[in-house]
Amino acid sequence: MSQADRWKDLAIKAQVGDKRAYSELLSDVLPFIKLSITSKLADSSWADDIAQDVLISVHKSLHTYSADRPFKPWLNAIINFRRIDYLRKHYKAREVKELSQKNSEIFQPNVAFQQSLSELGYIERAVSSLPLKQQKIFKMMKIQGYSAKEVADEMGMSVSAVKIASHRSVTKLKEILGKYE
Amino acid sequence: MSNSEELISSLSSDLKKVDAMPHPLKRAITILLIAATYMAVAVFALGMRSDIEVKIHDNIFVFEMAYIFITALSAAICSSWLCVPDVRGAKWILATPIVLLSFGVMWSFIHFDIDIHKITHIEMHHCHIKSIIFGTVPIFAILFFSVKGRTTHPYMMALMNIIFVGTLGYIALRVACSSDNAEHICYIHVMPYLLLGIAMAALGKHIYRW
Repeated sequence: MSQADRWKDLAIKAQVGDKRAYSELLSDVLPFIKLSITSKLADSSWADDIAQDVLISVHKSLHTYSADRPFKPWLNAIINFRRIDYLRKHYKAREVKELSQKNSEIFQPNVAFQQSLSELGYIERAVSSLPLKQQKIFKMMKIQGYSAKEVADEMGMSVSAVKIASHRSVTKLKEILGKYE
Repeated sequence: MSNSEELISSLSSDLKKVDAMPHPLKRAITILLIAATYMAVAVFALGMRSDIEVKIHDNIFVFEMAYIFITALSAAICSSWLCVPDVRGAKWILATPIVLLSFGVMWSFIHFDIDIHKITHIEMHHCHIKSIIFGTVPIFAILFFSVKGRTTHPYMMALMNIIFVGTLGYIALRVACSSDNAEHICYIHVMPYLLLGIAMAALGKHIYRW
């Protein structure tokens, strides 16, 4: 069986709720997605983020796949859409990015360990560099202590999407804050 | 476990059986039936133009209505095709309503000898209300069907949807309003749909976000 037929077969099984076939399909297409986008990016480290966006989009649009059509063009259309969307957001965010913590005096009375003030600044800057949605999810879950379910209800998202966004924001923060070590 | 592996595991555990979308042609016909039926009822309820019996024997009027209806049909088909990320490999169909509409507009300008300088101000007219009435259900019908799909062309989708609503609304207004004045048709009948189209284009990315 060719790769194209195999993916088509797995996608059809996934549509009827076969979780194992779906997991296999997503694992199978992941290297293909990364390979398709890496050569078209200025920074290859973006490939992971875009690939994850593509996987989420495949999940959301699985019902639009038609068994009488090949799988690859359908997947390629999603890959291109997500790549362009990511780049547009990235370059737009770069233009308007501004640091919200301009005056550290605001924090002085509220920070117990004054020597940690500069670290607070790093964290605050790192959090503000996240996309707005991720910022909100991060703050609600990790600072205010809401559960994933409560955040999902508040934001009109699925629990898994909230978990994914939270996980991604933590990973990004680790990456950003790692630079200050 | 890497981020991507975690994500795959999370998405797989979330998977539920999904109903594959019906063929786009079926969806297009459904949208067209809903919109056309509503418009027919609305036209009957609001009353047809007094000279309708004469007009249905006027070849140019019949040609105009048929041409616009074909444009509406092609826009509904494109809108349904656009619900699929790869447009089912038929991107060429997107040119059909655009070409039809362009020729239609060109033909109108030539045939009706429209003078765009004649209109100096635009005021509220009863046809504006009719255009809103005729457009309400079709716009919601097509939006309802559109957002059920997943388009990778949000602006093209917005364009197709407004061509669909605008052309059907145009037919309904031509049947309901007895004015054949070109400027009246242009500015009073078409203008609300043009404004709606601009609004939809501006909001395209938000409406069809996924």
